[in-house]
Amino acid sequence: MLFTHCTYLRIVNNTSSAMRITVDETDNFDWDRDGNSRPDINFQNVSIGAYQSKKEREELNALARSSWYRMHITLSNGNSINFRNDQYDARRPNEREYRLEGADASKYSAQQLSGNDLNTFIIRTVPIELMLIITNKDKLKNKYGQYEFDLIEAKIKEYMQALDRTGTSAKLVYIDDVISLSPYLLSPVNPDSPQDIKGLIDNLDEKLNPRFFLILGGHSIIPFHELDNPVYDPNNPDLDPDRTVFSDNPYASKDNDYWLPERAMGRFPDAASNEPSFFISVLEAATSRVKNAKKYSFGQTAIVWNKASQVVFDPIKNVEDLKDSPPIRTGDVRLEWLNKKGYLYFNLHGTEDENYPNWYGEDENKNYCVAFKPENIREADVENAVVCCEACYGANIVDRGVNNALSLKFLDRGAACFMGSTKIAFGQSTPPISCADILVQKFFERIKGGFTFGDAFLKAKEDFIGESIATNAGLGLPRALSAEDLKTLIEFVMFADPSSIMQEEE
Amino acid sequence: MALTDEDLKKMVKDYLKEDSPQLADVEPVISEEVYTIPESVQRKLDLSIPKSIKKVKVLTYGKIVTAEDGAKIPIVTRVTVDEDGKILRSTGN
Repeated sequence: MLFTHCTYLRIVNNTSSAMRITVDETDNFDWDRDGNSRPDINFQNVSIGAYQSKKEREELNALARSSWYRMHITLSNGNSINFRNDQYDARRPNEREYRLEGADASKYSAQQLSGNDLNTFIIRTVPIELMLIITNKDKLKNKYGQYEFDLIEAKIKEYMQALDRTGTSAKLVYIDDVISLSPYLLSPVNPDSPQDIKGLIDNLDEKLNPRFFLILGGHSIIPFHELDNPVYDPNNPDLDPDRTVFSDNPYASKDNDYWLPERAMGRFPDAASNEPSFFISVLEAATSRVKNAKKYSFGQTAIVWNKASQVVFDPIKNVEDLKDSPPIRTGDVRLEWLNKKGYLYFNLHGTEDENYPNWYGEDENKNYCVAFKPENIREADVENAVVCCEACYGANIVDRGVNNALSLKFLDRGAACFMGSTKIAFGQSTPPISCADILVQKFFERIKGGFTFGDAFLKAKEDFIGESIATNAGLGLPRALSAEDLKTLIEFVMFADPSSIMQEEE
Repeated sequence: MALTDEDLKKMVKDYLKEDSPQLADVEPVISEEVYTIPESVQRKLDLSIPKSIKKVKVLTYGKIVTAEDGAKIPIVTRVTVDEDGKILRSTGN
């Protein structure tokens, strides 16, 4: 005679699609061997309509310690999910989110409520997050040609499908295209006017309320805003020579005050050349959606800034120390220092001259050595790395290509994120850190904290303001922001998928 | 008695000889600056700006240096001092 425990299994379909269920991975010993009260029989090939539920009696062998089964659910929209569960859960209290598996697991949630011999799973659709993708059809076509544009558009669509599979629905909007804008009752805007493009983004935001925003293309496709440089002195233009600052801050701001944006926004730049392979490779890398990278890091600093850089490096420091330049020069940088590192940090000099894409060290005798150059990553495996650079003009991509902009070179090599400055960036050589040092440190902290790249960039700017005000006050300065603090807020840009998250591996 | 600009330049020059000797002989531009918190930032972060913010004096030094490969790198250093000439902050690139 078989002693059994009487339990119940209840599946609640709280989605808008009907579901069809199959069950396997059961062990005959665990169940009511001769009867029908087991899920591989009474839930086998069962259909549950949208917003309906089904409850069945499941007899558990009292001599078994567990009664496992796997339930496969195919929804009428074509999605499929599954989960593996021990029906003995019915005899113990649980109220938790249960892990779903399968191709579409990220789109659904399963809440388990169990106890008093009843085991309930409530299946729900995870709210879809929306990403608004902005680019310019005519400028892409004119730059690359119709055939190449078709290729680029196909890659954008593949990327959007990849987003969809992870629960982010994407809408592609061509700012210059009547058909693309007509569903939103909006008209094309002047593609050379950053202010008009911002107005369009504001209108789309109001209608669609996207969670993320992505700009496709560099300055020649969707122009940066050129904001007044708070440090620039028109009477002394040779001091800080940057009259204006290239910035995406206004696009990311909901209002016309652009110092502290609210939108989680990133940009996939293209290169100056009218050959599309770089842009396509960036889209393909984003389509993979897998942003696993080693938790190890690499950092390189001008030796005169070592003390401040140590503070910035601290959130990502892992095994290796910062490399000082000098003595480390470009020829000394070893591939193994860079390969498979999740976090790369650079605090070196840079220049706006397109013929000198290198980053430079500085010693106490004011020798400026070549510390890092594009050739250093020609063979490096920096796939999925987060790269932050404080070098002046480190993220200047205007009229630049892969071989004369290290930011583009890193993206070409598969880096997931490049964050840097379009213009001269400030900092102190010794703690307390300030300006670019604070922003990069906060960005690393937020990335390490599991934020999406877009949210990390937003939060880092918010953190930057609080920290800068406190630091200034601690130095005996006014409890407010200096001109170079304000410049820092607008000059740093992020080239990354704003919805991506860094997932660390050992 | 408040220090003159010439006094400030001399005091900062002594500091630069140690910290940034390549700028020690550069003639600085002295300006009065007001720290601020933009109104939108105050609103978004629920911050309040102090009722009275003292102006600070900033001595800015600019120079183009040449790297070993010939690249011209603009160097800017901003030294912020109080009315007694005490260096409160020095930022640069």
